[in-house]
Amino acid sequence: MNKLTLILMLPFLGFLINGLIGSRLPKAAVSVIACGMPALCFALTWSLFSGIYVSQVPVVEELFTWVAYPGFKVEAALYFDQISAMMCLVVTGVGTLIHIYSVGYMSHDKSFARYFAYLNLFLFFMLLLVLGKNLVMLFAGWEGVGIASYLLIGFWFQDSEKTSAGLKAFIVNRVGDTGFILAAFVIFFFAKTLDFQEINTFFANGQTSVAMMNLIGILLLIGACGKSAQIPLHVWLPDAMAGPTPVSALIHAATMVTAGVYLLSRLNGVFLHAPGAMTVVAYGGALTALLGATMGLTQYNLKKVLAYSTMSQIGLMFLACGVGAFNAALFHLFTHAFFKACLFLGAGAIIHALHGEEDMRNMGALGKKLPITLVTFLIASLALSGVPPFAGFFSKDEILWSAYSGVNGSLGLWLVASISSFLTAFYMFRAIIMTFFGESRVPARLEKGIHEGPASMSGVLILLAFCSATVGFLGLPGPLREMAGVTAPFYDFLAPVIGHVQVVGAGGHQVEGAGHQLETLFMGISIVVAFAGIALAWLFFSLRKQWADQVKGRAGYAYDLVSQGYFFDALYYLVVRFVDWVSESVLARRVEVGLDAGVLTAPNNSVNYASRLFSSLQGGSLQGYVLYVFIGLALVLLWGVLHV
Amino acid sequence: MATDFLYGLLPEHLLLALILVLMVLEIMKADQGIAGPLFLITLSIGCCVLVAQLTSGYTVTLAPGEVVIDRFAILARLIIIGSGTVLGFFSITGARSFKTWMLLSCSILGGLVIMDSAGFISLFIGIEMLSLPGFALMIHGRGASVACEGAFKYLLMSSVATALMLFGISLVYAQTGTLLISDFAVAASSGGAQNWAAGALVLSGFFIKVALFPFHGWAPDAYDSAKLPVTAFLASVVKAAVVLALVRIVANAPLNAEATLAVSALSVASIFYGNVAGIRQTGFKRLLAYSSIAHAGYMMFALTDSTGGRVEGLLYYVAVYAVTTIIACACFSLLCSDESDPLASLEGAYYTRPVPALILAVAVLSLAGIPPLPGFLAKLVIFKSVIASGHLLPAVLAFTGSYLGVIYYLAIVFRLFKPASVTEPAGAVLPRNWSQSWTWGGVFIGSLALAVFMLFPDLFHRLLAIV
Amino acid sequence: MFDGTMVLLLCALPAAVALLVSLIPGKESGLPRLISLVGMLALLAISAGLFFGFDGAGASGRYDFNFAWIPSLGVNFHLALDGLNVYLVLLTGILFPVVLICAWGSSQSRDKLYLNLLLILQASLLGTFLSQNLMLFFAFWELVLIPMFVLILVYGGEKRREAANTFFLYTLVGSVLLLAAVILLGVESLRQTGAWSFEFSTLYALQLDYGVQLFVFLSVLLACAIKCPLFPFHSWLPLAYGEAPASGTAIMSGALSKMGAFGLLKLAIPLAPAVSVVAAPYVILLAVISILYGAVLALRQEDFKKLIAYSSLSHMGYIVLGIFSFQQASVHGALFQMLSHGAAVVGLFLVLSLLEQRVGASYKTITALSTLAPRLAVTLMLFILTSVALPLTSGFTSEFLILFGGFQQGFGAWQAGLSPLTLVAVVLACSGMVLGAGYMLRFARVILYGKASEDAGMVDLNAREALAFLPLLLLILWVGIYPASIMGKVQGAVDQLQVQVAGSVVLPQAVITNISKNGGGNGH
Repeated sequence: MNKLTLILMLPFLGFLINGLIGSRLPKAAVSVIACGMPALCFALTWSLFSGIYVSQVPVVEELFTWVAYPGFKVEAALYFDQISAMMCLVVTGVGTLIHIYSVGYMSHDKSFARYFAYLNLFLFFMLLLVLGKNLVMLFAGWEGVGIASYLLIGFWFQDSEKTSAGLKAFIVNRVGDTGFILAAFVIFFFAKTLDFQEINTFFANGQTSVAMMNLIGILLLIGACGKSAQIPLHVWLPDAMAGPTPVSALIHAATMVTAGVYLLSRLNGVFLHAPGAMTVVAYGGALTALLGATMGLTQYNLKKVLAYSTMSQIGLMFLACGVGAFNAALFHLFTHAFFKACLFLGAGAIIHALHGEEDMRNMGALGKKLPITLVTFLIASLALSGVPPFAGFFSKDEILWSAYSGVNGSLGLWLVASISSFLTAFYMFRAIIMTFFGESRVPARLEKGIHEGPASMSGVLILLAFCSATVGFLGLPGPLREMAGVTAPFYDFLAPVIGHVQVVGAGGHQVEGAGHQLETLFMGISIVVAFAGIALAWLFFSLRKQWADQVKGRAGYAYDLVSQGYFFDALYYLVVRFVDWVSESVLARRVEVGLDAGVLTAPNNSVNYASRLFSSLQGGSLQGYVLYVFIGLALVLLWGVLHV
Repeated sequence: MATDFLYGLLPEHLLLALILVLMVLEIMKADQGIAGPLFLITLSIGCCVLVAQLTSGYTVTLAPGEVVIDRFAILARLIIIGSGTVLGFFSITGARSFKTWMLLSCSILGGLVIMDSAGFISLFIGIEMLSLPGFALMIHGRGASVACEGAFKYLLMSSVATALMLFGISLVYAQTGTLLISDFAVAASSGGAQNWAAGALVLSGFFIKVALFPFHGWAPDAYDSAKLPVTAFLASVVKAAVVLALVRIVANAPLNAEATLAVSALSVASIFYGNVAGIRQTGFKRLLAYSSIAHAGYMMFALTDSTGGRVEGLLYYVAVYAVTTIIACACFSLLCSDESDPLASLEGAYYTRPVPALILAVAVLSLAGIPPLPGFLAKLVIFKSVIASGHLLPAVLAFTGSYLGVIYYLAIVFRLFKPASVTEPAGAVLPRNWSQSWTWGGVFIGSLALAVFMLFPDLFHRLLAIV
Repeated sequence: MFDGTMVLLLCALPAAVALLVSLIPGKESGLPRLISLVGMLALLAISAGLFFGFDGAGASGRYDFNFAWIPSLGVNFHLALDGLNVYLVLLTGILFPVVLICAWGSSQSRDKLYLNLLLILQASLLGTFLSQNLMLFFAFWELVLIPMFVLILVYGGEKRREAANTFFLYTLVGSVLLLAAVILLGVESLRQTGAWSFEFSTLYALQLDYGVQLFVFLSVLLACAIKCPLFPFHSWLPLAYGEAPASGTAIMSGALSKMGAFGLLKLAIPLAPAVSVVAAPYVILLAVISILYGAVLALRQEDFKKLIAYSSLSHMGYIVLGIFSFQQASVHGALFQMLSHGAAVVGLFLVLSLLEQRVGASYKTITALSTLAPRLAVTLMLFILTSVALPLTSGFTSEFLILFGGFQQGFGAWQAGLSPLTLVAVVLACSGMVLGAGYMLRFARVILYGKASEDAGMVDLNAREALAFLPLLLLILWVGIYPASIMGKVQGAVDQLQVQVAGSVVLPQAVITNISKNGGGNGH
């Protein structure tokens, strides 16, 4: 079995071992298996990656034929090109770290083995998703990560809150998946293939009508929205925080939720010929970025804050895709994976220390007790807020710039993106201040128990923080590249599969140099914005606390609107209630009953009635019988005489 | 010629001899126990003779225009005697007197005479010989006024039938001047008001005898008032003989359009009436009556056929119906030995007497026409020719009617499998006395015959084909 | 010829075993049960052997047993393995031993009547699937009702009499017209070939005029729509599924329901291709209505059995949708769905039956199974995920292919300027994916999750039961992961169906081209 297949199968092996006999193994063995598999995967991925880095030739591995009949064939094939390589590195790398972290985090849980079995299962499906060579394979992984996330969100299944959250996640995802599958059908109708490369090449020579391209694009977007928690299909993400925190870090921050971005960039060949869909992607992304950020402002649950920020960051990625800067999107995906994972794990450390307390109003002044967590969390937050030289700055700046300069980019988009990043900085530091600084609001019973997590946890935190600080340098923005005279290995690496979209649109008709001056200007602005956000947070939550409350009071309804997540949940609740109502009151109580009455009862009664009638003819009087005879005879004769 | 008279009519002779012997025995006050076995032996010999005639392809015209032995005659007689034998086995249980057996033999003899008659005289004699002992049988051995009433109704109605038949025959005679059946068939099918009337009258006569709606009035009361073996006799042998007599007359000659329409209308009506009215019955014998009304409908349906499949179809149907009915009655009597008639006494029978219960269930489902049981095949052979003659709509209606029939046949199965709420003690299992084993024998032979019918549904087709 | 006798054996062996069982004296001995199990396993071996030996050749292939039953009527006792029934034969072979093993603990499994009913049921089912003669098919088709009727009547629940009655009479309604159609076809062959014949091969070759086709199609459709069932002919379903004994329900949902779909494939389309093409959009609409209707009803079902009953209504809708899309993909999908739904729904019902055996009637309110009996819970979850059509399970393979083919058909028709009815229907059917996930996972949430009450203890899945479920799970995964390995066996039949449909004159040109483009070998 070759490397690529191994990468896929190892986590599955881990799942099988831990799932079948894990409960009988000692925890040490379970954790070794569970962490060993992804680690091996990472090693293998790295070796493959180094190979492809120089050769630039994608690795293809055809396992077997899934379905075949004359004129149709779906191969179960794996495909390892630059995009998959990047995704694979993130998934296995961050995945490994989070597995290791989990060993410490879940050490007290009694269904330890089940947890890791699920986690490995998730890795398997995630790798299937990024390695699949055609839409079917991708869809298999796509649904698979869905079910894995369903199982992990509802991991503590005694609590019906959590299981319902898992249910919600899966159902909302299914809505998106329906769009996805329809997109696949339409694509096949035109391209007569489901293979990514063939699809991209087919649509490249755009012989399909733009309307159809847009249709495909929109359908794909629906699928991506479901998986990547974009408005309006974002409602499941905050609830998904019900799962164990490492799960939120792995699935709902680093890997699964970014699958939508992966899908869009994987099929960039389609989108580049679907301008309408591109516009929708761009503005939808911008909207999500903004709304997500605003929703993050009002949350008191630490994990929910991070969830909303994830939402808005992915919104930025979509925005980048929408303006054709797929590589920028992927780069942000890359950096985001590190610092968001770091943030979640930090939050995990805090929650671990506080024995499950997630409400920031019951925290504060933890900085002294949890120094490592504080530092790592701070670094990651700076990265997220886009403060140079941390990773987030470079990737986000690239997005901001292309939001202005990219295909159908505009000043408006840039503005929205900047506002959202300002808000990001604001609520992140609000969270930091409420958690680590100020006076302690921790309940007394928890006060003494507070301590850093075991080495496995803090080690991972440090590692991730380091990455969040440094990985940004892999993809410096154009001007800086020129200044420093370095290249951007990340972009160069992806170049073969995603040509960096040349500057057109708003800034399009300026010479390259001028473009650079403008870009530098924007860069400066975004730095200012980030610091402004931080400063404002400091002002509100540390210096002048009362202001925050005053603002809250003034906002009134607006505040409710935001804190209620713009009532999306209420809306969906109505929809669900409606369907249930139809099911219960209309179908079950009306249609079914009516049907039974019409089909079963009515004939039954009528037959009984007829039977009663007929047997009443049998009076027993002889005259009657003779009468019948002669009536019958008379009728027969009469009829005959008339007709003969 | 003499040998032909002896050999060709041997079954009839045997029966005559049997009657005489029984008379003598009665005079000698012999043990009545031997009557039944004698009867069975004689009929079995008759069967053997007929089988021999059948296999040797023996045909002869004994009295031109009156008595002729052809394939049909042999097959029909075989059916009559065969079902008579099975019935005999079943009757031994109840019937203890010579008279019963004499009457039975006499009636069967009449049936045989019908089958080999080519002219109306012998046919008519046969029919009367067939019917009259029936009344006696119904009354014999029971003073119940109910029985007399039923018998009287039967008598009266069949006399009406006779009158109609004679009138019809004489109408034709007035025209043709012969009493040949073949001439009658020709005349009846060649239009003209008088012929039409003649045909209608004769048909109505038969309709009364087979109890086709609306000529059925007597059947429920008569069946209900008689003892179960007698009811079985009326429903099987007598009915078979009458239907075959009709076949003897019309053979395969297609009816004219009007008659076809009239017949199919009456048949559908009869099927619906019998099946629907049967649903509410609680007594087994009444149920039998209504089912026989419905089955009369199916049989008369065969008259609408114009593809020449009528004779074989009706032979098969009659045979299957007669045997199945006898088996059903026998099993019923096994399940509740006393004179009790209500279906309720069947409840939970499966748990006390599984074997007869299962056989009864199968027999009943076969009557209902559930494939692949012979009852279904019998319907099939009739309806395929009906549909082949282009009467799709009436056929569909008839199917619908038979569907309704399933309801009350199922009701019996229901009762059989209904868990006995009042769990009767082991005493519920009836002691197997000698007479019951006779009944068992009848059930066994009958089931054997049914199995043969089921395996070779085109038996009669083949047998008729051989010349 | 040896293969022919094997085919005959498929039908005869259960009957023989049934006879043997009923001859064993003694009431309470375990011997009959053992013998029947052995017989069923032998049958499973035979059917598996035939399945793997089968190479996709048509009915005239090696596995053919033909014996003239009623020569004068052209009714032959003709059994043969062909592409249409090869899956179903395997399924039937697998289901019965599984059902019996799961019922092993129950008291009825020592009952000779029960075993007889199961065996006769199996024989008649196999006969229905294998028969190559229309009259024989009809005979078996009806015969199936009797043992099932008695099974419900004797071993059913509270309202078993009502249920049995409804089941029998309702499903018999379809046969009234069906019988007329069958005979009519015989008459047609008499008229055209000069001899009675009910051989499918003869009937397929007949040139039926539109009126006859219409009559045949409608009567077959009615019969099958009741058996499947399809909305609005499903009124018997909740009652029968709810009241029948667990094993009965399992067989009804697993095998009997497939008879309907099989009938559509075997009778409706080949015998009345012209009408089928015209009627296809409306049948598809009906199918989609049942998909959504069943799914929405299942959303709020408290009673587990009824919930699964409605889900089965929904899943059968997919099969019909696939059949009447006429696409290679969708027909393959429909055939797979027969296997998939068969395995999944039987699994679900059997798990319920195990719960019933353990805790009695209170299984209807059971919860937190994951805590009480983890292994049982995992098994149940696997079957649930199959019904949710999760990738790597057979459910996904079949539903994907069905919707795929249906969509290609509908989209093609729409692009060709025909009515978008099919397209709309298929898109609606896709939304069934969401509803399906909804009710199945709600079901999972109710029965699997939640807090376990301390006193509630339960025996977990034991080795015997696990062994019983193994074949079902293997089937599910096999069809889910590597379906291509067995698609070849049915390819011939699917192609034949394509030819029959494409050959019909009334077919709009656009659709023909569409079929030939997406179905029969395309270029690009």
